[in-house]
Amino acid sequence: MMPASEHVPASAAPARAADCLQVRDLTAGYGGPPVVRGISLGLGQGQVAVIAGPNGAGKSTLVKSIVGHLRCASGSVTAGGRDITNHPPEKIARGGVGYVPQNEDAFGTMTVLENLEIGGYLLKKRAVGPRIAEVMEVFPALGRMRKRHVSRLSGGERKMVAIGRVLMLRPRLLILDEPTAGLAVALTTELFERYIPALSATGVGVLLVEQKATEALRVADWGYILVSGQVHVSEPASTILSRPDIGEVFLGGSSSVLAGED
Amino acid sequence: MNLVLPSLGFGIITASTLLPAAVGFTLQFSATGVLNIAFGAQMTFAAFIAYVCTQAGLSIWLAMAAAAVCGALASALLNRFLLTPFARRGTTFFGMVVVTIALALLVEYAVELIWGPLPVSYPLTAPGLVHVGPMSFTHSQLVVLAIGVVFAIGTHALLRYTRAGKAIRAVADNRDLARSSGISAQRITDLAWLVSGLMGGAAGVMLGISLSSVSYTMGDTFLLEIVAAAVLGGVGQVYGAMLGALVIGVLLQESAIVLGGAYAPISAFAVLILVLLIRPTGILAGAAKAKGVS
Ligand SMILES: Nc1ncnc2c1ncn2[C@@H]1O[C@H](COP(=O)(O)OP(=O)(O)OP(=O)(O)O)[C@@H](O)[C@H]1O
Ligand SMILES: [Mg+2]
Repeated sequence: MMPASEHVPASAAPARAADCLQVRDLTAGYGGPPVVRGISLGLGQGQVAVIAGPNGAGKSTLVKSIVGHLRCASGSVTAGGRDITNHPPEKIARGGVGYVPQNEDAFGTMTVLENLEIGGYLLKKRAVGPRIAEVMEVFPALGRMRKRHVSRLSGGERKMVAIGRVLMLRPRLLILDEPTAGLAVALTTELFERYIPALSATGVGVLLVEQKATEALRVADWGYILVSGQVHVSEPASTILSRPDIGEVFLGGSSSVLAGED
Repeated sequence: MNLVLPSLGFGIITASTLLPAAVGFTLQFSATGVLNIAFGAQMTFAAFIAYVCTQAGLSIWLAMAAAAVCGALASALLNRFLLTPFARRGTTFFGMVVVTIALALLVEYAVELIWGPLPVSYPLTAPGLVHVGPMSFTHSQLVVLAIGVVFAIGTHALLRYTRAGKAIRAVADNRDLARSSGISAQRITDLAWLVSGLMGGAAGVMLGISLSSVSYTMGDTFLLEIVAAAVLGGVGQVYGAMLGALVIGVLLQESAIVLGGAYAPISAFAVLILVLLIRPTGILAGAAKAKGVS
């Protein structure tokens, strides 16, 4: 059901081909001192990158400035080879970037079906229905609760709506900010082991902000660890998984070890 | 002699006028978070536009259509070129209220300057009465009633069944998320203000018809009732505003009969306060967030 890609999926190649997303030297914040400073990262078509790091490290701030919700004070963002630095969010969405925020990830005052319709807002009118059917095939639970109000759903159900909504436009780059928070174990596993690999197999680049870093890194090509607004580790996912010293810092270990090191 | 039922007719007419006004007012709030105190003044302005049209020979209903269009344009321009720039500068909620108060005064003075302080009235045709049980209506009152119903159904259809209407609700619910779904929030906000201006403009003329007079202060006086209806329904909730309009409209007229004209507003607002004590976010307060058109 996912779109066929014209690009050959760049397997777990360590080469940092960043044709999907390229962030260079990005600095952003909320008006006060910058929250993230000098961030650079890249993501190829069909690749999965994980951004991990302690609470308050600036992960959400980083993705918000990528998708146009926050102004970048300096640096640049390119997606699919095109510059999107400080473009309005609707233009970035039109360019094939899908974003599921950490909080307020769906329209609470609308039904599940209406959320999907809004997700397909940019599609041609007659393409919306068939696309909704496709998304509901991927998440059958959505079909069963189509008439329900999102504000009355559980956290996990709501997250499914949010992900279904963002898939409506067949994004080339998918940015998920902690999608598994509040998700049941079974659904988390399914997301990591089934949906995300299925997406990347069709050439979609996935940028995944994740607390459950070990599980996420297993399906990822690359991992970034953000601490106090800066990239402290940028390594292939397998390297991070195999180095217990890094692992310990953010996999159940205390994050203060890294935080205090600079 | 029992006047409760006959005055129900007046209540329904008042409610029909109040409905588009309260819905328009609440729609503006949910789309941009602005409590537009100038809404009443905009209604007055539209009512005078219609007056000018009738003087030029148009029928009152064509004049109402013209006034509604003018109201829509004025509302959209007001939002785009006055309120949005203020909002961009980070003006607070109360700052915006003050801006709209200033605007209300300006519009009112302008209207007085142009058309004078004396009330005028629309040339309404044959006053034949239509009896519905114990209630009786003039022909124009019946048309006002029909227009109110059309606005209720139209708003419902727009927000539930059209792409643009759903986009209005999405922007009202979560502007950032709507934008990240590809919705141009600015365009949708313009549309919401156009629609609400249309309703306000029509409501101004409807008010002029049901009062049989048009004066430069009429919108301002009516604003209190609009706010009451909107608050009763839960500000930002369109269906709440419809229900609120019905309740306030009927209450105002009934209490005028039962308690005497002077007490009408008092009893209506006493009910408002009572409802808010029991349901602080309005009659229709449910799981839906206060902000967001639901
Ligand atoms: N809207 C805001 N206004 C001002 N400061 C903010 C805002 N949102 C976040 N911050 C600050 O920015 C810093 C980084 O926050 P951010 O939400 O990006 O962290 P995070 O890495 O996503 O954390 P978490 O894992 O808890 O989601 C924090 O110190 C936070 O206080
Ligand atoms: Mg976060």
